[in-house]
Amino acid sequence: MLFFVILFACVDLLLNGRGDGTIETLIPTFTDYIFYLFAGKTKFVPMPGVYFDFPALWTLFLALCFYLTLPYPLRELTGVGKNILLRTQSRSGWYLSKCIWVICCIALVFCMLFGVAALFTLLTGGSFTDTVSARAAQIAAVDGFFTTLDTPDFGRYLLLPPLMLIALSLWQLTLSLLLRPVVSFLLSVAELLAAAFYMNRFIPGNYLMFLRAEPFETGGMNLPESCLLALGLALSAVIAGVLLFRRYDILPKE
Amino acid sequence: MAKVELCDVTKIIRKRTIIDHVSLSFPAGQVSGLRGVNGSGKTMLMRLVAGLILPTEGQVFIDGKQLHRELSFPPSIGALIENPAFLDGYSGRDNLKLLADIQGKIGEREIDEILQTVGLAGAGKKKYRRYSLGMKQRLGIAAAVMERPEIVLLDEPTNALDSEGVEMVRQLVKQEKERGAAVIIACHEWETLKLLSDVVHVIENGRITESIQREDFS
Repeated sequence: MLFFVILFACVDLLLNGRGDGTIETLIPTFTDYIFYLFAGKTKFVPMPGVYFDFPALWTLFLALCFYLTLPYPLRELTGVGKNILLRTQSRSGWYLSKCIWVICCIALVFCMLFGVAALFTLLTGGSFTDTVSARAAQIAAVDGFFTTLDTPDFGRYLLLPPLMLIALSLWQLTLSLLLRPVVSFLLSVAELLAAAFYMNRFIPGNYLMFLRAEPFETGGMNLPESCLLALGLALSAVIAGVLLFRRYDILPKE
Repeated sequence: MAKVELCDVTKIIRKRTIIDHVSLSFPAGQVSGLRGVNGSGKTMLMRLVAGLILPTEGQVFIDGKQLHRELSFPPSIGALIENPAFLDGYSGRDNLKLLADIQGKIGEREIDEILQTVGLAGAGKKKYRRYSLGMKQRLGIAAAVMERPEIVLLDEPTNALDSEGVEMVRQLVKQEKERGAAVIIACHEWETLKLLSDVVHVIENGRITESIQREDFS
């Protein structure tokens, strides 16, 4: 499913980038493809006649990533994991192994994403630069953004989505110990929607939207701060999870 | 000192008392049965002994060491609690090998022996997803005893087993007892417990209402 969403995003960018005589056809760079999927939405300013238009593609992709890492850990715990746990004798060890599993899952998703983006770049004759084309940024932003300038040196920002997604997925894992997994998932999705609506440094989903990053939004999310926050969230999720799991009753759950 | 000791253990889940002030000892070299209807607390008691759940009140001791304070889990335990669970895409043999490799206490010879004992010698290479319920149960029992643990927990071990399977369980439990393991069996069937146990503790609504020694079985 994730693969098809990525595919759709790449094709969508190509189709929306077609020229019409007055505008040249966009040949997206490698970074354009990634940017398009994680563009998100420009800052929403409520005004009369302006409606909130949530970023469907961005939300769908991230929700699927959250869903991907959701069911397995607790399902394994109430199945074969019981026997493994009794033999490894370590609750912390089990929990850390699941954290590593979450990280690997997200890493694989991004390998797939970069692979598909690279393939599209090759097939369409695009360039492997870390520049976001002005046209791609405008297409991604729909109505909310206008620029004639390309954005160079954006490659470093590609680090942000995997880091922040890992952090949020680890928190989802931790929260699924306290709440039912489905509730933990709904909270993750609700956080994404909140981020789309509010541009706020304290809502982590904002760091997953490239249109809210410093090069595109004045006072937007800056890279060092974003990376630090992601690492901090990830570490706190792991520590909280290990501590919680030590007191966790391993029982069959829905 | 008993191998396993529960000292005034209570377990409350979502305001419901599942285990109510239970004090029990499970010595080594003895088969202790837990008898009760569905929902009486037998499986929960086993989960407490295995360290899978934490008591709300009271303590669980394994060889004098307190669970969840000095130990996370009993150091030498084999358990079949509720339904057996293995990896569908692996064979029965490979599933056992995966588990055995964690502690490295046994090798392939012992795995083959236990498969023979539980009557799965011919089905060891078959994928677990193709196993019948009875075969899955046998594999679960094999996993619980293969490493010769000091504590053996068997929750409804004769579920889905034919008469040959029940006899296999009886022989296996006798073997484990003679080896010196503390064997705890939960079952709602009195006839099965009579066959297997040295003492039967009757549990109702989370409380031990009676403990019947073998000589007093009717």
